Amino acid sequence: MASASKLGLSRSAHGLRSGFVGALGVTVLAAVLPLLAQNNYEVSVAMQVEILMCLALGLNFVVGYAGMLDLGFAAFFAIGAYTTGLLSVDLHWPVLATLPVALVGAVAGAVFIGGPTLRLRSDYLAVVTLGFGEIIQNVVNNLNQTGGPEGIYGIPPLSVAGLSVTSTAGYYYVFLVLVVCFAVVSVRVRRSRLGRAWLAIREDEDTAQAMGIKVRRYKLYAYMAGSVFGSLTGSFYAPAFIAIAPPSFGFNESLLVVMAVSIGGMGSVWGALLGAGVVVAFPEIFRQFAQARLLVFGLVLVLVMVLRPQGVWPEAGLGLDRAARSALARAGRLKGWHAGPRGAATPVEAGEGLE
Amino acid sequence: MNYALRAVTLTGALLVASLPATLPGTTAVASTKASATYLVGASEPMTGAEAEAGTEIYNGLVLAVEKVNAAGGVLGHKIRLIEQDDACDPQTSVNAANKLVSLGVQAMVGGYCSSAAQPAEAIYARAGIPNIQVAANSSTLTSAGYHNVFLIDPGGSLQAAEAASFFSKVLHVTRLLIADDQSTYAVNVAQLTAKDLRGTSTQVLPVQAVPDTQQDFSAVVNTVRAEKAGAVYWTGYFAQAAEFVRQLRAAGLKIPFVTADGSVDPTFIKDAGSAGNGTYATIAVLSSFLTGAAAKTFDAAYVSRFRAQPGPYSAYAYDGIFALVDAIKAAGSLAPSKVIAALHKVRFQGLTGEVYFAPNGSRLGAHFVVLEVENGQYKLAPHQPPA
Amino acid sequence: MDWGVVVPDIVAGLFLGAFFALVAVGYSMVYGILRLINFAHGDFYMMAAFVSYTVLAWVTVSTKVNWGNVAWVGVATMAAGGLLAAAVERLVYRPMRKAAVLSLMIAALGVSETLENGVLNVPGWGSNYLPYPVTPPTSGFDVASVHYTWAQLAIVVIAGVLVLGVYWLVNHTMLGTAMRAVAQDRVAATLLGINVDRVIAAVFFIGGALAGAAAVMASLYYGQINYLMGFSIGLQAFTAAVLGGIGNVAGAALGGLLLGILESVGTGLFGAQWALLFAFGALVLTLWLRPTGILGERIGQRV
Repeated sequence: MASASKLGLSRSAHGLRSGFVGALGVTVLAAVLPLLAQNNYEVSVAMQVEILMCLALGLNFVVGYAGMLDLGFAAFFAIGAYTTGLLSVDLHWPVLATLPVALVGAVAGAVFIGGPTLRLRSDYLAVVTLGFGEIIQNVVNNLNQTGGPEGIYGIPPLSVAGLSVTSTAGYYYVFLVLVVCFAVVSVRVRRSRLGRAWLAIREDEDTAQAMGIKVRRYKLYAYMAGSVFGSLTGSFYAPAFIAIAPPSFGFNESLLVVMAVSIGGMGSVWGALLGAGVVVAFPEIFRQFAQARLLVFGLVLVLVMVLRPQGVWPEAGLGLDRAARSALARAGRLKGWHAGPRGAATPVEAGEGLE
Repeated sequence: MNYALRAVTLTGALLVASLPATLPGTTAVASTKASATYLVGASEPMTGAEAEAGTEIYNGLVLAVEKVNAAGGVLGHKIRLIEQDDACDPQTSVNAANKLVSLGVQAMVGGYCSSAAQPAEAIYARAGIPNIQVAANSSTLTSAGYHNVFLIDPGGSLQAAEAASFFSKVLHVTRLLIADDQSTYAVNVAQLTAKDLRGTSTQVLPVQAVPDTQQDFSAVVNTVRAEKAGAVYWTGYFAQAAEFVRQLRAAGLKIPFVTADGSVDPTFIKDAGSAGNGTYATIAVLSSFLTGAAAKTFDAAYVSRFRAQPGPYSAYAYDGIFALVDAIKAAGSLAPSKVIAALHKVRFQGLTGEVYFAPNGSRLGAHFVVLEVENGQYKLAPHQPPA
Repeated sequence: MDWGVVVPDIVAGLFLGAFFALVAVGYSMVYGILRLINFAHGDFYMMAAFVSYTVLAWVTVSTKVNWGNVAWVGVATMAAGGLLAAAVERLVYRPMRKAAVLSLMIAALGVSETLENGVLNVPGWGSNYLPYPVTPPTSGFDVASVHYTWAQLAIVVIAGVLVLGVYWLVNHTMLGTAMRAVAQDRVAATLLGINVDRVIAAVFFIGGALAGAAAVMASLYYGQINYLMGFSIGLQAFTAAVLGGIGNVAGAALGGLLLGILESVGTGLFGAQWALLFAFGALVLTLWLRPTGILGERIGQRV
């Protein structure tokens, strides 16, 4: 596929370096953001963008890399947040000490749910994951041990090496570190054998199986990877918000994460980050519309998906080079592009396709 | 040149996403010392399932503010309300709180959901402004140690005591079914009522928690019948209360149906129809039952201004504004710290009873009564529980 | 745990399940033909309820209410529901025909958000719980000391008739055969001369019409409508469709009834707060044992 390298899929050394420089530039900018911001509101929204970015990167393993539809991702978020909340409030554990416990819980949950169900077709998996999310939310809402509908309050702040993080800007930086780590891990994994196996499964499960990839096991790995990211995010969310309650961990939250990954562009790290930004920031920007703010958000959502179904920044790139290719196609050389079964755009040589 | 384009685009996206100050209407107001208006924030649900309650609260605030402004405002300043949506969600509420603080409000009067109010408390506390919650009343709000929090709605304990007394001493119920809608406030009242009835002649059956999206009560009604409950106490909100009583009566059960104050709303009467007659409700003195001129004026004014009946918390919102105004007058200053100190000493006759606060900010002086629905109207029940 | 309520709860569950079944059949048909989890389906139900509310309120002002009025409003609402569904398909889903399924789902979410908040911002509707203008009578009959109304019976019968009608349509008419062909293999169906666009539009219309019927009956029975009423039933209908085996009418109907029973019995045995959990637990168990749902076809792996 000689044309593949020309599509800017960043597999060349030049691509790697340029991607790194771009990422570094953005990270530096993000690091200075609290100093540029005019008030706490902006820093707080930026922090929430980061939280959703972390969750989106986690879901990216499941939906973006392995191609499985997960509608209950908030369950892992809940497991992380509640484990940290309970252990730090009831047993006075420092927040960092609760992380391993939360991780074990999340991974156990992933294995418990994923184990028997990942062989299901994607639509059935969607319902089972949805059910799992609802079950977790229901349980924490109904049990007195988890605070019932009131949730857990008075969660102590995160303390690192004797310093307590108490300000919004402080937590902004905590989540920034998390986002960068998650993004780096995502990119590295994507380029590893594990990532390639996932991609193969996503593109054609049966061929992958025929080539010797143990599909069920790798799907489980993707689900577990997602659970790790989700749980870690939850564990830091608890001290950042001081109080956690069941309504934040339901189907709506799961949908927000799915939205972030889809709008941003499935399978792409930049896409997940961008999507998270859009999903959190737009309803806030639309506060000027008062009661109609979610109406505007809904319309924007529909428009974005109709006009650009593969997402704003999918794996195949922003598509600026694609615009050039469309021009070439009109000149008769290539037939154009079409969106594949999971949104990754692929070129169609002249003569191919049924259109 | 792909990387440059990527970097620029993502930077642009981050900027757009994180610096809404570039848009009109969001610039921070430096200080209000020189301006002629006193900015008061109102954070409550404008979207989502609780939007109707949010509107009723906001209307109560508006009515009070208009009255104060017509009389000249506070210390020569007119009050201006700024409403922000908290969608009864902790994250949205935090954003609303931050937004209000960035807009320079000097007090917050509003709030509905306790779970949304909790994380926002820290933000108002850091800004040092009074945080007057007109409807949220979870005890977690006053136990966090913030000195600027004031609850207008009394906690569940007073209401639970009233209800317990009503069931055991007036209705003489032997088996009682309590049901809540899993919201913080309803669960609180339900559990406290059950606790108060321990050791009395009224046996409380296991509390049923009905999710607030559930319209179908047939299984709960079956349980009521099978358990031979002598009465039902519903501590949730009005929409489900209407469903519950309709289905209860349609199943042929004529036992007393009692609701807590969250269900005292004209919508309950409209939606329940004839099934609503005979329903009892526990509530802090509703405006229409005070004999003073002030009370009648509130109802009439609300109806003529908004062409709708007030909701269960409209009167609390009204009292909230007047608590603030009284504190400002007593302090003789608009400075938030002085106002907070004055709020701790405030004491006046409001629509919901006498308004004054305990040191931790919870409401004292509220007076609970039992109402009964008669011919589509709420009236004082003929037999009140002993004090 | 009180076992005495189990039988009345099963009956109550059948009644509740009738609504689920109607909405689930529409959901399932749309899924079968487009592989789309149409999150907006519950909002078609909600819009239909609001439209019928407005029409009925207008009708009851000018004339006296009788069951003839209600009947034709019901039919009109079904048509309205169908038209709305078909319109959304034409405007939003058809341009996205070649897109990834996940993108379609997000677009459906956007439509759902738009419809819900659109109603929120309409002055006469808003966030209120509006009382339905017509209330069915509570006269009925008693079975084992439980009182059932004629209205309940009528609702179950009408729902059954509608579902059977759709089943007959799908399995014994030309249009139904075309639908099944398009669901099985869209390209081959095109090659056979089937107008795929029209068939898909028809499927959406039927789904929307069924949702409209469910909306009118539920509004009559429960007496109130609210702009968020579609969300909960949409979710439950989808769950029911999967439980019964997605993509076929009988499966969706069975799933709907079963889900209603599971929820009611769960409430009776464990308390209302555990009912949904009980239902989901049963769902997971069922899928574990029968991965394609109760009546789903055993889809072999074709390599």
